[in-house]
Amino acid sequence: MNIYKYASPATFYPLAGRLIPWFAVLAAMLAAVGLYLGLYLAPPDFQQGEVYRIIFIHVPTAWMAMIIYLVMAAYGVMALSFNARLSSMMMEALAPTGAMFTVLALWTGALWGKPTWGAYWVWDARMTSTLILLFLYVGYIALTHAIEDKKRADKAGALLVIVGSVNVPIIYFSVKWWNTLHQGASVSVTSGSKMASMMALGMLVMALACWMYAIAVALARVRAIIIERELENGGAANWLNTLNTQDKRQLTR
Amino acid sequence: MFVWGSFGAVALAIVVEITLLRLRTLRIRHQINDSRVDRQVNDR
Amino acid sequence: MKSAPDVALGPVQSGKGDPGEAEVAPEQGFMRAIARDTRLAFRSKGEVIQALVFFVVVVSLFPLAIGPETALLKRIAPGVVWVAALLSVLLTLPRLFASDYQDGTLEQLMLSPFPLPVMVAGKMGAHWLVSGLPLALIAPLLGLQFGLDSRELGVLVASLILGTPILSMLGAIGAALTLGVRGGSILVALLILPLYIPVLIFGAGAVETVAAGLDYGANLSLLGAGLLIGGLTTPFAVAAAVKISLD
Repeated sequence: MNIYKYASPATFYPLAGRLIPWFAVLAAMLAAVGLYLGLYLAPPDFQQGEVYRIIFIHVPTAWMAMIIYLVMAAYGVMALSFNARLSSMMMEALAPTGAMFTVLALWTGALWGKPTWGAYWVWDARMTSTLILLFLYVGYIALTHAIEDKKRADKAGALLVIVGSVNVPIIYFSVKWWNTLHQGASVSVTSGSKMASMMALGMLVMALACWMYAIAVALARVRAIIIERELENGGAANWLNTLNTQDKRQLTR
Repeated sequence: MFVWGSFGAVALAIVVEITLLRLRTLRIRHQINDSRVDRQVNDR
Repeated sequence: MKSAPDVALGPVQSGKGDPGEAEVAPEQGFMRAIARDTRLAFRSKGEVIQALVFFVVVVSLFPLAIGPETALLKRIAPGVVWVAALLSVLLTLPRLFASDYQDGTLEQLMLSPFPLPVMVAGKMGAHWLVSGLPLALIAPLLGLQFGLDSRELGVLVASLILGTPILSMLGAIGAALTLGVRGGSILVALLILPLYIPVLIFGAGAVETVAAGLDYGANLSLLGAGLLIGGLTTPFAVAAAVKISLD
């Protein structure tokens, strides 16, 4: 099978359509297992009580916030070096989801911080750099929306994200640089190895659920973007004919 | 309460995102159907 | 004083020049771009002075807002001066490419025998000379108003001299990406300010550490490292951004 075939939007469109249900179902199943592990099976922490359960959602969202940006940067490299339209579309499709996860990471972090540290917001390295990450997402979305020429918007956005991704390592670096309140590694909240393994498992499953969700949503959004652009170009009618009948029915139902 | 606030916010965000995406695809379908009707009218 | 431009030239010199035209050395184009842009900037002195006055006024606003308490002012001085420098540089960014974009000079620049990264490096160097360096030179005066001692003033100037070129470099990327875009200036702020944050942290951090009697070397070294890396990489990013915007 030739994977390069799927680099074209027209062939990728039906493939994405077939993949979405799988990722969506996986996301739902993993989320169910993860929530069962995190909210039911895992015992309360002897210091923090029930509140620590927030980390089962906080840590995965924070991971996703960072990883989605890196994935966007990788697509950006592809978009610029191979002039790949689909890569730019994937970036555009991922950005809102990444921004959403960043907001959620900040929100859940604040709700975890209030009972644990006594303040919703603390100017420590991680929270601050997550906030910067949100600014980076917003900057990308603002730039690509401000430029009317789609081709230029794609490339400008790709370059911006690549430059911005230099900031992501600084996030980790800054954690060491300012030695502040935030706990070193998130997993070290635990006490006792048995519970630690349970917590690690719960977080891992939740993180996988977030991954699957992000992929499903990004694929659904990239499908919308593909058609929107075709409609703008006025070539939608011809392009639609290249789809097989099932995809067409699904589209115009 | 903090736990519910966190998980609830995530659930809400997911619902909002999926709804917006759904609305977007519905709008596209309308556009496609419109253009189809246009074409049929033009053909006649 | 020309640390940024010299560094920026590095990779281009080591890379292959144009073999057909041996006389056209990259550094020549660099010097020409610097000379041209500096001359242009000084011809309209108003803009250079305005940015400087803006810097001074913003810094002077803080004591009025916070109160004349010396100990407090001394503590916030590094941050205040650095934030004001950041905003001042930000305001001058549209000047980097906008007029050249409007009158077509930028397209000429792409056609010139010199590699585009060299030319934009020259423009960045000139931008720093007229809008970054003056800030560093006037900063001691402002520092005195905030009660910094001579050691702290020295570190403040050093941090500004090392840090403001990075502001010009990163800012050039934003300025090039938003050429001709509606609402460009506020967009540049949105794109570039997040990238400025590390510079702000290390720049203000250097002065804060020396004020606290700690070793400030690490902060300055990090700024220096940022300057080196920025000088080696940003000309290429800016050249790519210019190409994207002119396509």
